[in-house]
Amino acid sequence: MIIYLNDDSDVPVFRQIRDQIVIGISEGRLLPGEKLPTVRALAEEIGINSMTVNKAYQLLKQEGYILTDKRNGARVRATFENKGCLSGEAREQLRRIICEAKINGMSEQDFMEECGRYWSGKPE
Amino acid sequence: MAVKIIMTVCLYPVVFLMYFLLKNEGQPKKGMAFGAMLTGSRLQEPEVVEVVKAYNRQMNLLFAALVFLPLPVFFIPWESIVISFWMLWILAAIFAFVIPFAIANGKIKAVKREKGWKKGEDALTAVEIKHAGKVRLVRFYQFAAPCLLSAGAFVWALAGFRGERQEALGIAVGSMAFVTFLIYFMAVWMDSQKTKVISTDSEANLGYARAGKNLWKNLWMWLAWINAVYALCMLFMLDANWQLSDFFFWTTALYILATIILLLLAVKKRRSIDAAYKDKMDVEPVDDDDKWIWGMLYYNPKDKHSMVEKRVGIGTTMNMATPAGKGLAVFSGLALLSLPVLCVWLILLEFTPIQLSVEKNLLVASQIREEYRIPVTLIENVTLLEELPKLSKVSGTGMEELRKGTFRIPEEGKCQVFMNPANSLFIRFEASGVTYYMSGYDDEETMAVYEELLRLSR
Repeated sequence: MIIYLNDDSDVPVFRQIRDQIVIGISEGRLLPGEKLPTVRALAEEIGINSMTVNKAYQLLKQEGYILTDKRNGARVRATFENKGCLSGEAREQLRRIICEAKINGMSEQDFMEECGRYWSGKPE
Repeated sequence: MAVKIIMTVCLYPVVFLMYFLLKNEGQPKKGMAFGAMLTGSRLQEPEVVEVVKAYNRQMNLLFAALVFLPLPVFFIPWESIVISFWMLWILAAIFAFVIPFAIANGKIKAVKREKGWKKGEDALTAVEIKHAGKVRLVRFYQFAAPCLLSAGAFVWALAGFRGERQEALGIAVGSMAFVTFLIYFMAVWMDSQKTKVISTDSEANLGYARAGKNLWKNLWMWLAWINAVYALCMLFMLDANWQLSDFFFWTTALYILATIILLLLAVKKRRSIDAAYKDKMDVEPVDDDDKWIWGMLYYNPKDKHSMVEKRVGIGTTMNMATPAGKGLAVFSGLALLSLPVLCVWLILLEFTPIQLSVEKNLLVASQIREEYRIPVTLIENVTLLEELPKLSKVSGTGMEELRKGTFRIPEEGKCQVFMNPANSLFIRFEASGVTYYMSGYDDEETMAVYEELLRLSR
């Protein structure tokens, strides 16, 4: 699975890694139970500090997307807790995106179609 | 004349190599023009074609100038001037061709900005995470034999090959042994580089990375073996005073030839790997032109990788923003600066006359600085020679009109030499168990010193 990191973005790199892994899980590019690279290997691969990757993994673990243990490293969870709703932070982000779409003159129908494409995992 | 021929044979091909290499790399291909990314039909746009034409013109002019520039050197009689000329010429040959390339790179970047061809303003880094850290092919046992062979040759030279301790032999063989270990560390370093993302298919990325790293591993292994064998040959060559023999010449020629053949084979193999994966390359490379100075030097402070794949040519290059890259830049700068200093030193050596005199019961030999100061009371067995025995240099200076330092004579072993070999008279003497061969600036000075030594010894 390929992830794209933006060196010049205001979004911190650990957050970018977290977001891309969540997208990968959602789109099925990372399968339930699949092993993730070790913190050190991923840090070397990206060319960043291990602490940054560790922070991303800790966040993913805290949010319930991955499991980590010292022997087996990090894995995508086999099953996810179906809360049936967005987290408070995600809800805030969605609100911001909707506001931006409205300011930019996007119609509700276009917005819903765009959402549909992402929901189906076919954004292109 | 020998110096001129050796310098010409060794250095003249560099200008052809640099010209054809950079001329070839300057032709737009593989979505790249002068180290700047350009995709598809944009390589054929009139603005790009114009830059290519200007580049070709500049390259041809430079090539013609550099090819004809060394011709007058064959009429220069002074060895130090000849060597200095070639040193500066080789620097010019290496760096002059880079200038048109850098200019063309700047023009292409400007065209891209002007036409809005740059893809996005942000620099994205693509990372394959499924196989991160999994492609590691280099193991020490693969390099153990050549490393041990090289270390063995070094220890043997230090311990006293054939019963005699020889510092120069130890240094020469030790340097070659060091290179073998350096090759191993380079192999490990390159093996740890990131997986290049060429495809959306992770297995294709894995296969491509594995094939590339396997190629590098094999290349380094062969280089380590060649180097180890050459270190061993050097042990025998230097010990037997074969520095100037046919064996030395052919062994060194074979060493260079084998290295060149290996590199060419590696380039061929790299191309075949690229061809094999061509159909799977569906990821457009990230446009990070801004991170490439002149399209050749990678500078990205946000990337901790010290080595990245080259944009121009095949292989890897340093990230100049990392400590290792900065270290290399400083080292290269110092090495380049040392060349003109070396030239000045050589000219000083050749044009400063040697002086031999007897002052207050001391034999004093000086050139630039005082080289020897030997009490006459220690000097014995003084003889005047009209013909020199065969001398081979161990350490010091060996020019057509100057020899000084430690030399070796087949029948006598090591001796100290300070002379102008173009003279006809030389003094041989012994002092404190060391044999000396000396001469003055001319035969008159030599004769005067010889007579003074005889007078004082009576």
